[in-house]
Amino acid sequence: MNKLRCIMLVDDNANDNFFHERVINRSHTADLVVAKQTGEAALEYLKATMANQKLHPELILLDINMPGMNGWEFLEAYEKLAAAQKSKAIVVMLTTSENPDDQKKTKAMNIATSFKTKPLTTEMLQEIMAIHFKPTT
Amino acid sequence: MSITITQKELAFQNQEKEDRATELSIAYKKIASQNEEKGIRAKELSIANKEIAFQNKEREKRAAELIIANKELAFQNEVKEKRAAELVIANAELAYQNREKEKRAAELSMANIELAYQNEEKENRAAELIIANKELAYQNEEKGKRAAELSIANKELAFQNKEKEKRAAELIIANKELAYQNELNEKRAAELVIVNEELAFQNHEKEKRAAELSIANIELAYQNEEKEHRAAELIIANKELLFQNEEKEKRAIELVIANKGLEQFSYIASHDLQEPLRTVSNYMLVFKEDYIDVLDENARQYLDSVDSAIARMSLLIKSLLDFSRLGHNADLVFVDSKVLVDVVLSDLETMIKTSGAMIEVLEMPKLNVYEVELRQVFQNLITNAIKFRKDNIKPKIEIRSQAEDDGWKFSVSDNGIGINPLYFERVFDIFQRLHTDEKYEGNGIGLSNCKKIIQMHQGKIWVEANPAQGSTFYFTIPNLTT
Repeated sequence: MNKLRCIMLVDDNANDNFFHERVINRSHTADLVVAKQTGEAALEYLKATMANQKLHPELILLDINMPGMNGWEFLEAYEKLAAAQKSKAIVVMLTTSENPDDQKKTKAMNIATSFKTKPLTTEMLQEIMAIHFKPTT
Repeated sequence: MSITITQKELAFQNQEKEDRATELSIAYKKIASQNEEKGIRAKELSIANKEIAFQNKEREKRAAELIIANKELAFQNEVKEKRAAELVIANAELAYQNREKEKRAAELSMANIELAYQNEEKENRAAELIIANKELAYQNEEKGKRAAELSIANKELAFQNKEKEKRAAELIIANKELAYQNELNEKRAAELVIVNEELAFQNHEKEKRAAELSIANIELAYQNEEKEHRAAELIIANKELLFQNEEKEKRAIELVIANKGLEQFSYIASHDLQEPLRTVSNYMLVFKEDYIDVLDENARQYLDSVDSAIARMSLLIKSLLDFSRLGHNADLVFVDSKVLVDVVLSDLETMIKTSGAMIEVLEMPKLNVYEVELRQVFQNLITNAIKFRKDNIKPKIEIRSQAEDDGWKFSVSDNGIGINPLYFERVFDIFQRLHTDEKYEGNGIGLSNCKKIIQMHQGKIWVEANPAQGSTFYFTIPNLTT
């Protein structure tokens, strides 16, 4: 499996961030895992690291239910970023089973997204890698 | 007139006076001539005294003749005096007549004033007459208009008269017909005499019946009274019902609001409950990954129990969430329910094969339903029918439908363990289970989902069952318009 340089977790829940980071590390999916607990902090990080390939995330795992800027508002702001500031893919991490209403929202946006239900597992990571990061052999 | 006569009389008398005067003049001339004669005689006397003696004798003769002539004059004077007296009287008469004339003149003056007043009155009357004439002219005009209207009315009457004549002609024909019928009636009358005799007999019978009816009427009157009582009671009851209906409508509205609130609550609760549970679950995994090697067998069993409790709680929360989401964004679709059931059966293929279930689907209708939700109903009912089977007896399941007045009745029957009638209602309540997990696995949400879905379709769901024959679940779906 391909290994990513950086994955960013955007989630206000530190426990989830801890667990997801552990899953990523144990499955050796990325060299670096960055956890941001607000949408604003995540956007700042994307802008700040656009020139640094090692630190700029290729994949974002996004929580929806966050205080302040929620996941949908983060996506709206993300859409307005310059191409160089964006990552390659965003996976929306839903708290419960999929909600079709919410999924419709992202169809209007030109963002490579998929939806997964928490908690993140190794199998889930493999699927994400298969869809968004196919090896270019 | 009298004046004229009097004047003539006066003229006549004046004539008489003139005549007398003429006579007197003549007499005076005679006297003068006689005096002349006397002078002559005297001279002759002187000459002839002799003659005198003779002549004296002649004088004496002449004196006697003068006496006679004086007597004649006296008589004539007397007549003249008479005439004068008569003139005085005549003058007095004239004065009287003049006075009378003045009186008449005064009376005429009065009469003239009266006439002048009367003329004035006549002029007033004339002015009034002019106004009256104008009024009459206007009334004549009006009469002219009325006459024109009457002319039209007369034409109308003439037309109506013609119509009446036609009717009269028709009546004549009708009368002839009546005359003919009268003849017939007379025949009938004769027959009626016979019939009357019969009727008299029947009347007698009727009187008997009437007496009986009189008793019956009293009974009816009593019953009517009772009915009125009931009617009065019904009116009160209706009012009460109306009030209760109103109350029910209020409750219905309150229920709709409450249900929405509950759905919202269920969604939030299940959503927010899921998160800490997941954290527990995650740390359980982390804990086992890191420390499983240092735990003894007991500790590992305890952790397994915690895991299964977490799994069960997670399932319950997920079920609650699904239940609260039922019917969201659902649209009525016209579907072939046979196809719908076939899809469910193919989804359950493994379970059916494993259990060896025999499933028969009889004729099924096409109708408007919430497709995904109704599929879930069939899936739950078929799953239950397989799950709650008797030991060592292969499940036999029949799925039927039956047309009703306003929709369809479906049934899913099995030959399983049945349900105690005590729990016919309770099985549809959420998280209600009749069996332990060891015996029959489940989370107690399937039938409550079914109930909610059928209620969405404005239908009913119920169960009939006994331990010998198994259970039959029925539900109805009325004709729904999209």
